[in-house]
Amino acid sequence: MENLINKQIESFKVSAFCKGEFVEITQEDLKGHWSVLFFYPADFTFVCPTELGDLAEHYEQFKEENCEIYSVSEDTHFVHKAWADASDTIKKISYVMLADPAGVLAKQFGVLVEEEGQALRGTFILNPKGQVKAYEIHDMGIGRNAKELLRKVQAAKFVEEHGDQVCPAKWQPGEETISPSLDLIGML
Amino acid sequence: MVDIEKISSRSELITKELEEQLHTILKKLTDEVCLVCVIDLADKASIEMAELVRHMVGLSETLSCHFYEKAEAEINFPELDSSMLPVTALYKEDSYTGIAFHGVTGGKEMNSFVLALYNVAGAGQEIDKHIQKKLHKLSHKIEMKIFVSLSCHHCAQQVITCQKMAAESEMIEAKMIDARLYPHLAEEYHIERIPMTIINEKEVLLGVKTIDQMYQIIKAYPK
Repeated sequence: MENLINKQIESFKVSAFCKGEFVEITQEDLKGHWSVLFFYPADFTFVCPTELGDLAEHYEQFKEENCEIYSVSEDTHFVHKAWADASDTIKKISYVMLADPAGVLAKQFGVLVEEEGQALRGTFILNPKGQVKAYEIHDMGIGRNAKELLRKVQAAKFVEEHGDQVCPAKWQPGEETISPSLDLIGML
Repeated sequence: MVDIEKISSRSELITKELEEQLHTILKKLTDEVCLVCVIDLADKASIEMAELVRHMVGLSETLSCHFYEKAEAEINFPELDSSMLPVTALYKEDSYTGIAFHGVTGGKEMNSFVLALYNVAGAGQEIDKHIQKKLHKLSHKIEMKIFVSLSCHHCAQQVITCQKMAAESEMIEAKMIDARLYPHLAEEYHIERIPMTIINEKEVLLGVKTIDQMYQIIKAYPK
């Protein structure tokens, strides 16, 4: 299985639906800021609006992190509009909904299920250079959590800014004191 | 003062192998330094640290130690923060060096503890003469709180850097704080990554910095 970490996003041009309008998006639009590509199987399904609504509720926090959200399904931008017209949850979305009916993006990120013409629930965090820094892929019925995704974006940004000279802190009350280890080679 | 005989002179944290390593390093100490420990006799971490200090003092000819409980320390050592016990501070010629450890110096922090002793009581680590001169001229008080985890080697490096600066300047205080032991502080300061250094309760730094980088930051305080 191909490892996608540090994969550079390839060129693409797709139509999209955003705040009532149709727009065109290319790989260049994903650069200069952090991006999340959020694949989901199809419009007009039950779990998807829940996930996309959750993401919409956290959208402002993503923007505060200089991160744009791009949802992606294999529907056309016309279907996205129809869904927004029919669903209050989708109507509230202000991030860009990419239309990938030819499967260009889903193939590029390895989430296309060709026999069904749908994408797995893949989430890809890209840095401002358009490189994948973190990702997860769920089977169709397994939902994701926007709050956890936001934490991952913050962590990815942090590592990019501070390198690896920090450790995540996970405090567990009641842990034993760790035995001392001395390593002062070259320090005295 | 706590009766020293209440504290075991053998620490379970110091193995035979570690004892041999420590003995070699502590032999390099030339000046007398007193380790003042403020402890709570009912607290496991306090007893662990007290035993570790006694054990180490027993390996050296120039180190000594005294143990105090909180009430007595608040009167006699107001410069120490007795709200986070145990605290172990280095004193030289009856003066506080500005170097303190809140918690047990287990794990990677044994490195910072030993180097703090070496920097105060021994020849000390080499430092760029230019920076050293600037540190000696520092005219305003700087307090650095370095929040750490005992398993994080980056943390020990940051503690070493800050405490080396404290060893060079009377104006600098550098306190290692094991965030695991003080969960209310981890919450108060939103500590999710370590090492996290807080300067004068204002500037928050993450990760490891060099002495030069730290000096560039602290020279601006107070504005």
